[in-house]
Amino acid sequence: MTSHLMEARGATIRFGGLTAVDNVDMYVDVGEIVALIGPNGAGKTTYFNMLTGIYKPTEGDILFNGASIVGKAPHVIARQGISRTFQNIRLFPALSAIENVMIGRHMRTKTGALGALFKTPPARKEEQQIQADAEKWLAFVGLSGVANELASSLPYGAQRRLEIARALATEPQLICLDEPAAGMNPQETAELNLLVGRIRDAGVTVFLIEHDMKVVMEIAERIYVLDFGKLIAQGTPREVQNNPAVIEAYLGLGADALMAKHLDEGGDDA
Amino acid sequence: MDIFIQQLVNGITLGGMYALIALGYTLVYGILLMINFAHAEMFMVGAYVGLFSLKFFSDPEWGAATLGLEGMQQFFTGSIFGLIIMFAIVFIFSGIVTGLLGMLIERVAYRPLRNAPRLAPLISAIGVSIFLQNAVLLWVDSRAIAFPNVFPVVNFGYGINSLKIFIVVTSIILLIGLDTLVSKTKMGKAMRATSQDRGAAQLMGININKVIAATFFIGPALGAVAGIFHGMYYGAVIFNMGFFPGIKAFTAAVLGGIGNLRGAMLGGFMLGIIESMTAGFISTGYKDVVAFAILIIVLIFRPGGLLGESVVEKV
Amino acid sequence: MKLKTGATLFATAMLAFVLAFALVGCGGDANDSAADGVTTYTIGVASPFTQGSVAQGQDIKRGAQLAIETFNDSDEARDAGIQFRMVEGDDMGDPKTAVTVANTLVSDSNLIGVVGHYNSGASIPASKVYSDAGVVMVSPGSTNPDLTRQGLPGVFRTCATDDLQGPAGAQYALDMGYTTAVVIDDSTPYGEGLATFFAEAFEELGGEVLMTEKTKDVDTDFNALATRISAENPDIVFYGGMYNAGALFSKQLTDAGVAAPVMGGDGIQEQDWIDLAGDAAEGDYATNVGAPIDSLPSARVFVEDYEDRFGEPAGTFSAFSYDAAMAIMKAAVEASAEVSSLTSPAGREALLDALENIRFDGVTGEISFDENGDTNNKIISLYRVEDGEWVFVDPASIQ
Repeated sequence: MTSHLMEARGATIRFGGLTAVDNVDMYVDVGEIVALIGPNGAGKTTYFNMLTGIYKPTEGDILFNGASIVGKAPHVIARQGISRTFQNIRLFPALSAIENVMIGRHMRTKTGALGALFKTPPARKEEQQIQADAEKWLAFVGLSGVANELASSLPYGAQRRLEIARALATEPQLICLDEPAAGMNPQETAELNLLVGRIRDAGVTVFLIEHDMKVVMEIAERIYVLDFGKLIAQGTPREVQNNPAVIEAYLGLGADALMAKHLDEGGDDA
Repeated sequence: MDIFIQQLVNGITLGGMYALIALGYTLVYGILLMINFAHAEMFMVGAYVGLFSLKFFSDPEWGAATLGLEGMQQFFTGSIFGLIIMFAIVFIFSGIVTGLLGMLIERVAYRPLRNAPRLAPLISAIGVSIFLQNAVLLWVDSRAIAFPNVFPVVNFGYGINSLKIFIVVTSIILLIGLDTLVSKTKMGKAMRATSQDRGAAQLMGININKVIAATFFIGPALGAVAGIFHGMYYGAVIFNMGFFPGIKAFTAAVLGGIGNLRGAMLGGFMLGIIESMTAGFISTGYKDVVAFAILIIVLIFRPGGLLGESVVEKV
Repeated sequence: MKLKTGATLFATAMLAFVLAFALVGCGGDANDSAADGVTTYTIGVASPFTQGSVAQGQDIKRGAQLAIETFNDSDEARDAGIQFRMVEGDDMGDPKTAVTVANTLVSDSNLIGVVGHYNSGASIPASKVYSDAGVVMVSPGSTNPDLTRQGLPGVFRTCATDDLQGPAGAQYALDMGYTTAVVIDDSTPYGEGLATFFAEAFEELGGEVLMTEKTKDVDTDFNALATRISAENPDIVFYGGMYNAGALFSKQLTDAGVAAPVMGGDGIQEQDWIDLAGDAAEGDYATNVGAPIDSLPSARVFVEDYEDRFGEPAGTFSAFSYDAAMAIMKAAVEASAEVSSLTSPAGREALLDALENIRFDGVTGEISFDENGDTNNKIISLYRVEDGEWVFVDPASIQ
């Protein structure tokens, strides 16, 4: 059991009377691509926020590499190897693309403020390394050409990819992507699918929230389904696709057929 | 023309001090969106720490000499070399002490209120400001204290003297240093990232408490330097000395675009020069009127200030 | 006149005698008259004794005490059959305490007059209490002009008022040969008044005001103004304001190369002016109300007597206090020639009338009061910073 990369045990969070995430058990293993789906308001992003330390679970435990990360500050969890992107893009708008990625690199470096200010040789060398690493990750997501442009001036799809590059620059073991395909056109979505595969191939485990069933069915190896904070289904795309509880959660009673059609479309490509 | 140059020199000197104080306001605002009203008191405390450390090193009836360290005092006040070392120690010591005080205030008075409504830390800041003023009033002195007159003042004509040069040059070096720190270094990038999106910065592994603490060290440390300049330039310190320079520096920060470092520098120098020119060529009574009229006009046309962020967004 | 006075005196003495008997017979003690026909009245001395300006308070108390002792011993008092008794009231320099002290004092029905208070802030509220009770008050040290301008009868002072400092300063400046001036004030009522009176008098007396300008009492930066003043090149710079901002102004003037001295009022005559302005303070002038007592020829005897009696040199305010007490006692003697008792409404009226018209040679000069109750003997002295100290400038030495 403890060999999972990430494992939640009975994770629960309540806001006042509302139980946003209710007694959820789930795990992600090294090298997997796992998706978390569910209708709007199901608690998916809340779950990501617990995982990355923004919220502290009211009950239950979350283990990363076998050790509990509950109650740790977001930056500590980030340093332990969990990185993420956001549903609504949260780049540093007034920094250039490469500076955004360099921010991700910084926590992996040592030089203090004084060393950097006075440009000591080790500091200079490290700065060059940071620059090189950042360029590498920009190239990885296909943004080499816009390194010096302000993040806020990039097109939407590029911003999404830049956010992924920034997250990857922290050298995570687990990257959590919150609706990476949201707002993308089919061409961009197709490129994203390839990118996610390459991330996994680069040795980073991927955990993503996604609404686009086509994307989920195409790239996810396992799927968890949340509804009203509860885990209602899990399994391979095919298993989940045929789960009546999932269909009901998505479209309510009597809409089974529609849901099945929708899921089928996604599934066909897989 | 002579008079014009002299007034310009007066204005630049005053502006350098405003700029140093303004940076403290703008740094904190940039990162916490909070107006740190206690910053004026950092300037005052810095001046007092500077005053007492300078007295310790140079006043024969005070401090080191009474501990049997006359030799040390003679070394410091006896030669230019000694003076340079003494002032370096005094500025650095005062900067560190005031910086640490700033960090302490952030920890005690602001951090517990970080997620409270924005009015709460503002009130807390006013409380800290009143506390510090009264602490100095009660525990140090309610009356103005003369600043040790140990800096060798040499006049070069046109109202330019060695003290004014020292103030302006040191201010500019510190401003460039801070600009470099923020734009080039890791800590500076972390500060900028934190100011743009605190949550995202945290998730990129940035310890925002550390970044905020650093901000509350740097601002007061620069304020302390300005405080010592103020003491050296005007010859006196008093417990409520922070109030008006604080308001002026805050105005400078708003004029330049609050949250924007270069804006604070520009605003500081502009305000100093405007004040001197108005007082010099129109009337002393109008210097604040003109300064604030210009502020209002600038804000009408550029609501974010001269170099403010709203301008950047529009571009 | 003399005869008439004698007759009145006799009648008064007789009446007092009869009255005293009657009162003793009734067992009453409303009047402190002694059986030998001598009436004793109370004079209050109210000043800060335990808190605030206690040194001045002490001077005032001793001055009044010496005056009462001296007068009680004089033929003037013996002939009139009047003696005076001193009662102290400690106002701690505080307005509220001053009102309490005043109420306590007037509860003594024998009280006819009060020497005090020292602080203007104490004198002004207390004066209402005295006036209502029909008790005259002569302040030896309150210089705020408002004290005697409240329209209250029976309020006097032996010291000069603040508003005389400006004109006196102008006179001194011209006497010393300074013919051009720049006049600056700190926008406070005190500073503005001082500067305005200085400027008006300076021009009236033939001087030239090159420039007037307002600053604020909280300003610290005067460099731009100092640069402007350096271009005007005045003989003297008058500053209406207090020492804390003014000292910085004086320093910046010197830094800007202005060689002219600064002159101000009592607000700048503080050691802090010298401490804060440093070397720049050297040669600066200040006017102040009153004068060092040993500089007054009329006070020579008083100075000796005082030192014999108390073993310490007299202060400025002990002389003003001496004259204040003397004024009350002399008026009392005059009034008592006309009325039987000074504590009756008619007696209080007569005392007030006598005090308004009093004229005698006091230790600080000829004592008489104008229609407001201010002294006509307006002494304003000049001081100069010499070797880091404020030093009295003898008017005779100025030419």
